[in-house]
Amino acid sequence: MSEREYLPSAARAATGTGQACAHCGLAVPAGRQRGNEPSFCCAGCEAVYAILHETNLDDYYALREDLGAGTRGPARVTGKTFSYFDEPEFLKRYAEPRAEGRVALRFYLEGVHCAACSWLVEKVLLEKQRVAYAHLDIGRSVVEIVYDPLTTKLSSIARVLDSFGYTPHPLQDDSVSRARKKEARSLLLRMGVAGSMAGNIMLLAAALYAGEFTGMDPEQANLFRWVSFGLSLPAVFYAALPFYRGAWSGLRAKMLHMDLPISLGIIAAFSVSVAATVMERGEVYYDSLSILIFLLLVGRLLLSRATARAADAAETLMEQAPQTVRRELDGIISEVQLAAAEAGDTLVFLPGDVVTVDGVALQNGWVTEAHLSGEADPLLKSAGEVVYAGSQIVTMPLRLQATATGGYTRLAQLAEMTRRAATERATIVRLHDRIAGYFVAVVLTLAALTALIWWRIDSTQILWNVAALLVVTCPCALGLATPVALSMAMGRAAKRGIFIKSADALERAAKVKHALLDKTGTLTSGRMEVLSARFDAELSAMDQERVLEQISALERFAIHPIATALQQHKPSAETVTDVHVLGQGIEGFVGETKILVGSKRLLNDLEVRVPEWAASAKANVLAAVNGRVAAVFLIADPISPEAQKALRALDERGISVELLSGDHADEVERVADALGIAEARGEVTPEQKLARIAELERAGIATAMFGDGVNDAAALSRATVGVSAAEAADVARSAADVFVSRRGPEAFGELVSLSRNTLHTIRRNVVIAIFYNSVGAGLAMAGLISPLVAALLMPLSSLTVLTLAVRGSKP
Amino acid sequence: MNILYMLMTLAVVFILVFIGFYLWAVRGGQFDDLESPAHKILLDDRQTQKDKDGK
Repeated sequence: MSEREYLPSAARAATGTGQACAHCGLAVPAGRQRGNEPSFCCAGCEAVYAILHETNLDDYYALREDLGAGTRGPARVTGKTFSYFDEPEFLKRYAEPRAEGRVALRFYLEGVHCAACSWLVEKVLLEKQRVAYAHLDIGRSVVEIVYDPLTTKLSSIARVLDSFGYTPHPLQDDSVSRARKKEARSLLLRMGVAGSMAGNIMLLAAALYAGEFTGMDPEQANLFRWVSFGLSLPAVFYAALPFYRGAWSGLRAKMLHMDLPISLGIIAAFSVSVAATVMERGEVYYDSLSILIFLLLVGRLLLSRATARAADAAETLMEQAPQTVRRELDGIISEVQLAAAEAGDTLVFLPGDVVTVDGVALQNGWVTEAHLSGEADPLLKSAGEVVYAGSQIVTMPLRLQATATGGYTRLAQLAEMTRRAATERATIVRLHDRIAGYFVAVVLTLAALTALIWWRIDSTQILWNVAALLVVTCPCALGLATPVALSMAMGRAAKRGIFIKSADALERAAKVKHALLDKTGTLTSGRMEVLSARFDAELSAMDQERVLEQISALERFAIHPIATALQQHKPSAETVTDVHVLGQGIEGFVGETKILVGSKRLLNDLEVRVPEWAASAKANVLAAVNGRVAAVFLIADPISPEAQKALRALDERGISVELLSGDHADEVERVADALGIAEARGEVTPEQKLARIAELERAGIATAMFGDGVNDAAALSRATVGVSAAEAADVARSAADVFVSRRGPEAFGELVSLSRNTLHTIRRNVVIAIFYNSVGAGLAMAGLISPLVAALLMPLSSLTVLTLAVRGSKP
Repeated sequence: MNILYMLMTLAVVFILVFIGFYLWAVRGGQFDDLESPAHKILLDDRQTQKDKDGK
């Protein structure tokens, strides 16, 4: 009966009859209910509740209620000892030394979902474990701790976290995220510097403009100009550096980047202002150029913050240190680093664990290969059968003998294929970089034209007018509005549970014409249901009821998803004995009655006669009572009501849908028929998926791939846009461009709309900005631009475009 | 005129002081995580209230 504790959560939720788990809120199975006392769905939740209660941390539950965080999955306590955390090599590798002999470490925690978690984790670490510093970043689920290794053992800290259901994974090599953090900080610093300089220069500029109308002592005007010059130095030589770098690297790559016209404008404005200040004649543009730098940096900062969350999540996955495995040697089980496990070792995996080596099962056990092949149903692996890395253990610990480890596993080969696929993806030129190309060409032509015209009219004015032209045509509006439009769209997407990793992905999504759906599960409700039932004609209504009750009681011992459908009925009160779980069914005694439930094939194998009415019925599960078929059921995962709507929405947007699944061909066909999807293929290998995308790409069709298995990862990184679910396999999640925290393809339709709207907004902004720039260019060429006109025209165009960018991308 | 020189010098000093503070805040990571601390303030409040009730 101890197997009950390892029931998958879906099964657990389905079996309950009213009572909710005091820890996680899922339904409590009949056997664990305790009347008025708190009941739990599993041993994990019970343990966590007990610890919280003993240590007076019950407040956690109240806080969670207050925050409206709702309920999440049950606590999954791994029960590992984490003894290797105390080894000197481990600390040397992962810990960073701090003052007073303390060390700092970072862990990724599983199961963090709301602010109450941050309260609990920090409270426990600081008060119960005497850690010097603990900070949990909820967005990333990363906790940073600083502690003294002489007084506290790291393994005990890890065990405490684990006992609450927050399994810690040490993070290593944070160079990527550290570099990004540094980058974000430096951008913030540059923005602040540019902003404070711009504010002060504008005060001085206001005085200078007023002076032009009312008359100003030239000495005083000179003073103001020199002070403005001094203040503009940090803005031009420090804050604006990223633009020069972008322009330069663009030039070296022989690409015209948006940063090029921006840099040209800034440098032109600064040079002409310095010349004017030194020669004490001509115009200065210190105010315009510093506010320009400030606004452009604001746009960049917004964009980098908008992508931070999705990018962070992917980086955290990459940083996770190699896991450990339980190795059995001479009957003793010890934890070793995964890298230390070799082919031939006997390894033990517990329910919920993901198998990390390819191996041969040494005993019978249930695993699911959903993440590997896309086939969702648990499989019974009998002793001697091959279990691939990436399979997940469903019930009962499984011992297996490793045949391949590390890079030799099928899983590692799939990951390698994913990396290759990513480099083969067709690149697109970003919209605003394409525009930048034309822009630079037009501006340079106009500059040459201006020089030519003024050479004929008044050669002393050439320099001033060309500089004025470069200043007013600086694509500030575009440089600001594009990132703002993109970051607004990403913020809106995130609110609806769509997380986009880069601005590129958002732009690419607009082009998608063909959607490839991997899992049939994305279109179905995700829960097996009894769609129809037929009974032996001789059974009375009361007998039928009794049969259903007995089947329900027996099925409680099965973990197959089909069993959960039959558990929906009220179980019989009779005791269940002598249960045998078979490959395609289950057999046992309920009271005195022998019940056998299983596939037609199983019944044939056991030589149970299947009568005519049962054989002809549309059914996939048969039930025999005392060796006589009494009832047949059609059990399947029904099409989710939203799927039809979502597919129609995709159709309206001109996107065709194709099913490309590793699932059973029969199941794929059933779903495709029900939804009217013409193109559908089942039992597709990862290589075939990749080939299909390449084929479509050659035909010029941009594709979107949906999938959440390791088997989809390569296809996800090759497709124009890869979309995966938030709970997908790690490899898939880091390969995808977008991940959604909602089921079904509906979110993708929204993504496409959002993407198209955003591109529309950007195009409209381009038109407006070009209109402003044309007016400015005309004035500059006519020699009519004064710093005051520039100071008014430039913010005006920026504000117009910015307002439209903020309002515009609303669907 | 002299007062102008003095005021401008003062303005520059102010700018430098504020940029110094800003630098300190950014380097200290005060703007890195804008989400978690916002939640924390609520949680701490609640805890103190409870402690008071207990006494």
